[in-house]
Amino acid sequence: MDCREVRERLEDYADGELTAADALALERHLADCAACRAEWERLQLVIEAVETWPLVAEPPTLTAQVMRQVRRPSAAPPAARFPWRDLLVGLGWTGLAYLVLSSLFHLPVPYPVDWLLGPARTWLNMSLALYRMGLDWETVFIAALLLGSLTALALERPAVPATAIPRRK
Amino acid sequence: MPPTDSELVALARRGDEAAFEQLMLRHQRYVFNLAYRVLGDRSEAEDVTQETFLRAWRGLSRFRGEARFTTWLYRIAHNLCLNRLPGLRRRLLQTEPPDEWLPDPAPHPEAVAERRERLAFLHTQLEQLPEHYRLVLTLRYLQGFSYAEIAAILDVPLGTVKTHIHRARRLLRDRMGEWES
Repeated sequence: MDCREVRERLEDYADGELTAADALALERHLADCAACRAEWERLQLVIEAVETWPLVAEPPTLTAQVMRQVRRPSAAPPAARFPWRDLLVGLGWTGLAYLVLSSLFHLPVPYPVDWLLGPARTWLNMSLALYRMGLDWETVFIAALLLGSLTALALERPAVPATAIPRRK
Repeated sequence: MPPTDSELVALARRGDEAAFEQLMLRHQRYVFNLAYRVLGDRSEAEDVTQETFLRAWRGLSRFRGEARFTTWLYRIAHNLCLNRLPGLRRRLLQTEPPDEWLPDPAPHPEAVAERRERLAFLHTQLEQLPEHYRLVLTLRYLQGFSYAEIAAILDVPLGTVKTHIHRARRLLRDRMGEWES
């Protein structure tokens, strides 16, 4: 192995990527050639320099800043969140069941449930009244559908506050 | 015996914030230094480090553990560095010898410099290397990643990683040779 070849393969030698035979030939050359030996020592020093490249200290507030955001409820894993949606759905069904029962058995409906469910209860009472007037159930169903649609149109309100709707430019 | 990264990751995935904090304390200095060496700015390095750990926390459910946690973490950090240095990707993929040269070193005071002085000289030269060389050398020697792991982190071929590391070391010893002659 000559000097040119040794210089070309020195990097692979440092990474331990030469075959045993090539490594032996290179080592023999290094033992005899002072210039290549100096180059090898230089490479070893370069590696030592990269290994000892001084680290700078991170800002002392770094961990606290990240952990503050990690601990925010919105950043928590889904399993850890309170089941608000399930609670609301449950309450909705309970309200509907109470509405039906209160209409059938003329139970008092307390404020504000009465205020919230009043229109729906009126609609149900109208349907029941039509049925009691002796109309057959198909007519009641169609009339209830019409009345229900009209009531829904009359009481229509935006489900989301106007301020929460993003405006498009 | 302190818990391994894998054990802490498993706890953090179940929402254990203290386990994640331990992971952060263990790795933040290295992530910060990687970002600092690549970007050359403390404030930007701090932003990248914060964002890296926040993304790691939010993405833990997607970390399946096929790779080491650190490989995954550094991949996030690297992608954030890429956003700030658009030219870095091109330089990493470039396998032709680069045109850039280091600035002329200051003349050394004595004919034969002491070992300590030579190391100090090399440390100043490391700061001056092109950023893609600083990146690969840091991954190789700060955390001891293999060439294959570095290739996975940077999403470049293994041969390209090897070429960059060899060229960077060659550049440094050439500069030292010039400085000493």
